Amino acid sequence: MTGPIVSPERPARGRICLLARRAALRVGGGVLVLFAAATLTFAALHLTPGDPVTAILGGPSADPTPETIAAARREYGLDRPLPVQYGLYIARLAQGNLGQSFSQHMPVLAVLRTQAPPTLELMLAALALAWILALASVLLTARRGPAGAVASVIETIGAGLPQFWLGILLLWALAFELRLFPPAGNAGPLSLVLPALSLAIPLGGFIAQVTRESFDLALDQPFILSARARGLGDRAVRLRHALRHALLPGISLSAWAIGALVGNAVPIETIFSRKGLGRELFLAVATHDMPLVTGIVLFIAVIYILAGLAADTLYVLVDPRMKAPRS
Amino acid sequence: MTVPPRDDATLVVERLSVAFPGRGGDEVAVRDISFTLRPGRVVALVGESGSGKSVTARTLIGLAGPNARISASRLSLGGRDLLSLPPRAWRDLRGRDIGMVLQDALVALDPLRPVGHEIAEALAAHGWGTRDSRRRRVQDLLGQVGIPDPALRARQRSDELSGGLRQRALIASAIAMDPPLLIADEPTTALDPSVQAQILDLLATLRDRGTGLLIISHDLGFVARLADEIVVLRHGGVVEQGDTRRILAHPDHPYTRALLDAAPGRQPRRPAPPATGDRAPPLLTAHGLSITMRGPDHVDRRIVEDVGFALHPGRTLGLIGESGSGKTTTARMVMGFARPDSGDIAFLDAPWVTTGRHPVAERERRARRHAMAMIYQDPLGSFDPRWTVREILSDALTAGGQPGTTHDHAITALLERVRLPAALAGRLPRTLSGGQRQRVAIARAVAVRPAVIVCDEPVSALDVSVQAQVLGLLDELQRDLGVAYLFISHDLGVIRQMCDDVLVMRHGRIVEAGPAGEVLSAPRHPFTRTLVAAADHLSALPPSAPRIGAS
Repeated sequence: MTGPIVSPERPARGRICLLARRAALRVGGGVLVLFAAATLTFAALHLTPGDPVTAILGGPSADPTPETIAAARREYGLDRPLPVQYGLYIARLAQGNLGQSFSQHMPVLAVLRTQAPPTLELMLAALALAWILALASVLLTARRGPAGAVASVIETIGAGLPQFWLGILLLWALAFELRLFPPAGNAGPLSLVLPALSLAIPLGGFIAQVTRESFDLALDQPFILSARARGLGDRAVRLRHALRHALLPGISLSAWAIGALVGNAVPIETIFSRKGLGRELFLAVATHDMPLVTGIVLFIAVIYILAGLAADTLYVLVDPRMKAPRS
Repeated sequence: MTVPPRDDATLVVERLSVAFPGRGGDEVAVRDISFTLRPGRVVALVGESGSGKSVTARTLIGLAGPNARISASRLSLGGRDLLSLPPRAWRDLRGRDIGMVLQDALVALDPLRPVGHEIAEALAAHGWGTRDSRRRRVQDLLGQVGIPDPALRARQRSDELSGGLRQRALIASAIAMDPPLLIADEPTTALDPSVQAQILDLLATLRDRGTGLLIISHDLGFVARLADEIVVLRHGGVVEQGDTRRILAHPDHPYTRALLDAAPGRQPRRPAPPATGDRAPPLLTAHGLSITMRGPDHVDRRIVEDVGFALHPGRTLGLIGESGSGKTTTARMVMGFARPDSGDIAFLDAPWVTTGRHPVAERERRARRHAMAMIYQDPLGSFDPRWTVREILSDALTAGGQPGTTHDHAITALLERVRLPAALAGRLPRTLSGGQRQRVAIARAVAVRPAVIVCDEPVSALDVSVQAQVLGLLDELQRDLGVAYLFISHDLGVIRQMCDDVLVMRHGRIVEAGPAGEVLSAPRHPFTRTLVAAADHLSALPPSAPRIGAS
């Protein structure tokens, strides 16, 4: 790092160019992900058996005449060759037009607007709860004799629990037997507790396990000894020094988990009869509601991309050494 | 609790023993060590790894660990008994009554926080001042330890500072509360010699201001510059203790003598090479090597500029310079791992690395790869941790083209060659000692029957006495096998002992080249002169030489 600098950094312009290039790369990457998600959804829905026209005309119970079916096919462009359909589909999406839901007879955007907030609420609550459980477990028990080993086993078991099973168990125990929480619905924060817990316990187990490992490593670092030699107490050493070094793996895991939470929300929202994207996605796939499936999948992809961005930002906040260019 | 007055801050250690519960009963880490540390005086604990010196240091500030069993007939600070001190009182004592500096500030300071925060934390932990007054005190402290531009430096993290500034900042954090006693555990081990000399001077200044220092080091020569009293430790026990001059002049114990003699600076200079070595055509020649690399800050830097040399069979070419001077990058280009922007290397009479439109492909090098081997500073990192010594050597023998049926025999011969018991073949590298690991690395390098071995700081991580053995082994192998070494080191004592010729690098350029004897005894370039002067400043002294600011 000592060598002479060959191309001196032009302070303002060079830096702005660099930032602009990185931003362009991020946006380009994001668009690519969305495009891939849209294409895969299209392929998946056209490869699976079933006919979207049934959904358009009111589901399996309706009994349309062949003429109505043919008219509907024409109207929705389903009689055109597949590549043409695909081209039109991508062109519409590129204009930001998500189209009409076949099964709900309303714009996909409107469906998203009503269904997304409860799911986002559930996701964020689950993520926050997972972190609280994980940090409490690690900070209180790491390197504290047998407590650490016991907590570590509990974390591993937690990480292995299936969400739907946990959901049913919690529902039975806390809602039906003890009547502490409402068993179903979207009414108020109390109704959020059980579904969020069902998602948070396994995720918290995972986060705790990776955090515990790096926390343990951090406690062995010489700077911890330096901090103690300065007269710092154990709590301050854990909170101010070791914890920060232990956060990064948990943050990467969380970025992945945000996407996975939507998928795991499918059974949970169904079990707790909550409104939300998970349940909606399940219904839309079952009825071959192509525009709605696409809309939800793209929405999840956007969440994934944003979560990645947020994780990168957090990374630099936690570990400033990752910032480049250096000031 | 009141702060004891300075002149009362005497640390008395009498028959201190520390043990840790192990599988087969207690393992004694320190046995019956006694000394007295007074403000303004310097006591040094000297010993190799595992001698118990760091455990002693930690015990003195109550950080030996929850399992440690500590006993002493007396352990007191300014009349206060430390043996029965409750945890809360230990916390008050640390940093305020006894400060502590650890080796390698890059990791001894929290790498995620600005150094100013670390220093301020030492003040805040004892409830010193307000946020504002602490900030001013931090800048004062940074100035006190000789850091220029303290306002800027306080905002930088340890990885943004040079090795010397970093170590100064660490010292600043340890003396923030102005403790009358300071423990320095290997305070300069990871530093370049010229920076080591500066830190040594800073510690001397602290001593002159009335701080009592306990210096812990593996390097007897280094502490001899500063210490009033030396305690030589081995396997947890004191082998010799006494006045510095007496120990240097008349060491009683053979181990002390061995430590003194093992210091590379004390080794005889390498005898002049046989004249025939000069006439043999070079094995490897490099011309005009330059390389530019992009740093993590996206700025291109010229790391190596116009470096050229020739390596003859059976000879050793030393590459010296401070960290960041381009030594390791040069070695990587020689190995063909980093492609230079310009220049070329020929090896065994054929192009090895070329630049321009048609660089030599790795495929063309592969047939000659086995003729070049490498030994690293940290052998553990260069072994597959799941491979036993046998597998490591067998792999190298395969690379050298030996048929598998002969491996068992060859491995026994190799281990014998590097003086390791054959029983070691089934062990994993991490279960070996540092010296044994480096011997395995040497055996692996020799297994391919190379013509050239590139040694990158091969003994820097080893204890002095082990260093001497490994260097002796390398020397013997050269005489027996006629290999040529490209030998990278920052330690002039090692270079003096091992090398026929040297190249001195600074900022990626060769500033001086020539026979080792000439360059090291009559350096021409001012940079070489500073290097040699710093090395002399640090090396073990003849007993008559003056100590720094002798009291």
